[in-house]
This record gives sequence, structure tokens and C-alpha cells, in this order.
Amino acid sequence: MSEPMDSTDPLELLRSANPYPPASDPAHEGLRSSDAERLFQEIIMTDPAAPTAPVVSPAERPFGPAPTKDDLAPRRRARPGRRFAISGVAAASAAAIGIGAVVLSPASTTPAQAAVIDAAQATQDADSGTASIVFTGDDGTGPIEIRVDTRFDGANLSATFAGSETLGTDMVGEVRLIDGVVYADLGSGSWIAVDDPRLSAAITSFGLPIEIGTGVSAAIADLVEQADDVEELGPDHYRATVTVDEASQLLGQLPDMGPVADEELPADIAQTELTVELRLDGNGLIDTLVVSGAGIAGTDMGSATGSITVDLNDLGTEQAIEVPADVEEFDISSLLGDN
Amino acid sequence: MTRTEGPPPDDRVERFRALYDANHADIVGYCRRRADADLASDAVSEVFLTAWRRLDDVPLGSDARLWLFTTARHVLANARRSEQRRDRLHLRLVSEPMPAPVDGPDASSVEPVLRALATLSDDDQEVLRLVTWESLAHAEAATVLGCSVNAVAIRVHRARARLAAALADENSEVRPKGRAPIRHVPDVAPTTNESEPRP
Repeated sequence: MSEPMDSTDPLELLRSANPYPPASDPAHEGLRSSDAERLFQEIIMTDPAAPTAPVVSPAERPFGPAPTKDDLAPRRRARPGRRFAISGVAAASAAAIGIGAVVLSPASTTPAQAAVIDAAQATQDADSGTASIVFTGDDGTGPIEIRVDTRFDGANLSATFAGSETLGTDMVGEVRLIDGVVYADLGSGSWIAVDDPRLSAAITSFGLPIEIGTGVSAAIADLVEQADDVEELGPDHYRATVTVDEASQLLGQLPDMGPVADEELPADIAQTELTVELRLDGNGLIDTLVVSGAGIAGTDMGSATGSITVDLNDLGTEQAIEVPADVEEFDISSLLGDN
Repeated sequence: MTRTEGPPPDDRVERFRALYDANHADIVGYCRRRADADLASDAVSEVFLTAWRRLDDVPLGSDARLWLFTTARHVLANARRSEQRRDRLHLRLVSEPMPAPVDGPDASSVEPVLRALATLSDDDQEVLRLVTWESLAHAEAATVLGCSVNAVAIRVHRARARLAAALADENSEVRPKGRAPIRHVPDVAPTTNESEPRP
């Protein structure tokens, strides 16, 4: 049974809900010792010098990146024979792990698709850099533009906002998130500091994840994998068509999109097509992403146009995100009803 | 399968034996907490086969365990991506987002917790699993996740808050509809009500 716990601590609740308790309990060992020994013997009989793609090693990259395209490659090499039946999810996995994905897929990854996915995954290695996000549109009453320039370093974030008056977001300001503390200059030139996890959580939940660059890149990889019409328009220049539904995860990485559950999208909106255009830099990393659409079927937005452009720069370059001078601490607990 | 011409050198086998014996149970546990038995078995094989092939790259001491966790994380992530790819090919898949408890705590008591966990983003779920189920310190989790210790501390702090909120929803029987907080597409042409400035 689980140990006594503080029922109010979610981490303790989660710890006690471990679906596969620690291996110190022999009853929970997943492979019987004979199976483990058989696997060991099979592995050491394989040729360690057989060609293999690199698997990300913490030793090589202390802050190891997310899986890269190369990480998929080892699955195409010989694997030790096992007695375990491959079924269900394992069959699904084995199909891609081995040759199945290629054989089964009538529309296997195209070279253009693979190039973009490679770039997106390589871009994820960088947990620092800058990202400029510009939303432009026209709803028939006038142009709209919102610009957010961010700098991120894997732990901290700076975001400068500028919006057009049309949206009522003519505010120009900067927000920094440093070690969980929010510093904000809302256009007055003076900074306030709010040390409250609820505010920092609110900022990230509004689509300003500290890992914004890597988040966007991961979403691009997923998005492009779903597109079946990735075209190479020129050197390092690609285009694909996706639906709003498919793009929602990607757009969820961007600021100010307004949280809404995916399933809440009406079908006609979810199936509206968007164009995704990507440019890679000379180093095989994502340089620019443009998502654009014209109108949303079945709504009063039918005549509207809009696009979002994301420029990623200085990837892997440390960003100096510093606590501003002359900060006035601001207690928001009363505003949040704590008192 | 590519087999060696002769027996591998004893010192290499000895080192791999030590690595295998010391970490096999941990890696089995890691995989079983994130996948069903079949997929976990495949993943364990893949992890140790990778370690065998890249034994010179595997760090010594306790860092070896983190190296194996990182590799297992990548192996499972790739398997999941493969699942998604096949979903798009309309092949029938068995999807099992959370493993069933194996002789563990009472299922009725853990299911709400696992459901609440499943509502969080993948990143939130993983950082919480690492510090609770794998009992990793923040520095160790940072190595596995490939980010800074500071980032892990912040992620844990936020993920914990989100888990608490999800558990509260579970307790009030208001189930979250989505798996992860997903934000909607841009309001290409905002209506009057949507024109309010956001923070």
C-alpha cells in the first residue's frame, strides 16, 4: 500500500499513484530475471560497431535536446530477437521502428517534409535565442498589427509588446519573467515586480512559454508531419497547407491566442485551411514561419485575412535577461482576493 | 541482426554487465510508467542496445542512469510520434495513454490522480513524473530533460499548481475536456467582444 501522505500535496498524491512502484519491490519487476538475462545475452551478441545513428547523449550535450530525426534512425537497424510478442501499441511502434512505417505508408515522408522536420527538430536543440512574432490582419474595418519581441534563455524570458489601436492594444510595454518573478513596464517607464507564481503561471498560460523557440519548433515538426502537401518552393523555402485544427497546437505556442479547448472549435472552423510557409537558415534551422489564412468558413469573419509571422534568431546564443533597475515591488494578493 | 564475428571483449562485456544490472530495473520501471507492457519491453531493449553500441559514450557512475533515462525518453517519444503517424494513416491503433497499475496502489484511489495528470501538457507531466515516480532531484531531471536546473524548478512549481487545479476539478467532478491547454487560432477578424486587450 501507499505510504501515509499529505492529501493536500499534489506531488505526494502523484507519488502514491505511481502505476509501477519502485523496482526495489521485486514483485514489480517488469521482466523476469530470466527474460532480463536473455535480453542481456542477445544484446552483447550484436555487433557494437554496426552502423547506428547517434542517440542524444547527456555526456555529449549536458542539456540534451529533444529527439532529433537521427534518433529515429537506430530503429531501422538490426534489433536483438526477443520472445516478447509485438502487438497493439508495440506493433504500431515496431512498424515505424523498423521498416513498417515505410512499407505501410502510401504517403511516407517526402524529402521536403523530412527537410522541414529535420530543421524543426534541430531547432529544438536551442533553448535560447530571440523570437519576433507579428500578427497582422484586416477585418474589413482597418489593419491590425500586434508585435511581440521575445528573448528567451531556457529559464527566463523577456517580451516586448506593441499593438495597433484598432484592437485596443495600443499598449507598448515589456514584461520579463526572471526566476519566477514577473517584472513589468507597462509603458510608463517604471518597473514593477510581482513575485507571485499565479501571475507568472498566467503569463506562460497566455502563450509565452519560456521555451518559446523550442515550443514553436516542436509544434512545427508535428504540424508538417500532418501536412500531405509540403512543397519545396526554393532553396530552404517550403510551403504546406494545414487545417485550423491541425495548426491549433502550433498556434498555441504563440502569444495572445486566447485559451480554448481544441474540441470547442466548430467543425467548419476546424477544417478551414491555412498556409504555412517556412524558410530555413543556412545552418538547417528554422528561420521564419508564416501562417496565413483568409476568412473562416461559416462565420462573420469570412472576409477577413490574417497572418502570423515568427522569426527565430540568435538560436543558441545566450540572452542577457536582467532584473531591471529601480523596481517597485507590487503585491497582487489583495487583487486576487487573498485578503 | 548483425552479430559479432567472435565473442566481444571481456572488459566491454563486464562494463555493460555492470551497467545493465545496476540500471535494468530502473529503466523497466521508467518505461512501464509511460507505456504498456509490450511497448515498454521494446523500449527497454532499444535503450540497452543503444547503450551497448555506444558504451564509450555512456558516462560513468550515477550519470549513467540519467543517460539511460534520457535515451529511454527519446525512444518512447519516437514511438509515440510513430503512433501519431499511423493514426493519420487511419490504421487502427490501440492507444493507452497511461499504463494500468501493476499490483500497485488501489486503482480507484489513483485513477483520479492519473486522470488529473493526463490533463497537463506533456512537458508538465514528464517533469512531475521524473521528480515523483523516478525520484530524481531537480539537477538530475534537468539533465534528462535537457534544460537548466532553474528551468526544472520553475516547471515543477507551475506543473504542481496545474496538477492541484486539475485535482480540484476531479474532486468537484468537473472533468477537463482537453488533454492539454490548447489555445485557439488567431481571431482573424475579431468581433467587438473579442477586441478587448489581453494581458
